[in-house]
Amino acid sequence: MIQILLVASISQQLYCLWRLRENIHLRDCFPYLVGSIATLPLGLFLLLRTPASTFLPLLGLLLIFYGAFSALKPSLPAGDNPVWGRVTVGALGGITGGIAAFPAAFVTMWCHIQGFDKHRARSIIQPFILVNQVLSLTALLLLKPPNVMALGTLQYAAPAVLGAYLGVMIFNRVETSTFNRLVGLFLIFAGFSFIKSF
Amino acid sequence: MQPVDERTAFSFAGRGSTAIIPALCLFLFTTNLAVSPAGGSSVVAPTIVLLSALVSSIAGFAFSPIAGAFFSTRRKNLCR
Repeated sequence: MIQILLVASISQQLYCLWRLRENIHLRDCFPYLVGSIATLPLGLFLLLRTPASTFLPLLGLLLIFYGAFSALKPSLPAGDNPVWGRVTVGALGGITGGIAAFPAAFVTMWCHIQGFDKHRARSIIQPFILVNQVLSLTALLLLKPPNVMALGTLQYAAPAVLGAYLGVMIFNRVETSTFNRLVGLFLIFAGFSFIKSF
Repeated sequence: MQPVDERTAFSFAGRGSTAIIPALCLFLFTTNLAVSPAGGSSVVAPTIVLLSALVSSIAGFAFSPIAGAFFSTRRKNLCR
């Protein structure tokens, strides 16, 4: 199953990044990446050395509460967006990316609190996820080399790209407030899945 | 007025190439479903991947936790 997730995840991320390439400016993403790259080794260390049951239920609860807030209050006024805040949420994302392969939760919350529209939020979140995933996978492959990947798993790239195509189509058609509501509902779903897995 | 024309031309050219890739993926996906035994892991797993990619692409989330949650609910089917 890990190999399926690997192939599908990278295919989906690359397709989304390519589709949204005109809106993506890596300079905006830089402070978040600085934070996450600094703490990603800690996240991977916690993944390999501690039971996941220590952290994931807490992360699940946080996602549920924030998801409910985001769904109920989808539009917020623009914030100051200080650099220290961007680096801090990036650092938290580095830890959750290492532990749970879920780097974007805190950056998503930050973008909502700062009142970013959906395009600006996505232009930060999408490359942030891809860079974190590639770094995590590279580190894990070096630390724990897997068995040879079966070529058959490449078939999962097709449904991943097809799903990404439909998802980006929906993303382009919804308003920012609807987008934030959807994100809130997905955060609640992700929160419950973290709690349910224990 | 010139920049508007250039942008329109670029968008139109980009749209053509973006439609080919999903069309090809749709063909591969449906072919795979057509030749696979109904209800088996070769049907369930690609469908879960499709749904997870759809959900994570709307919100811009990481794919793996969402797919992992779906897979964990359908583990019996995948073990067949």
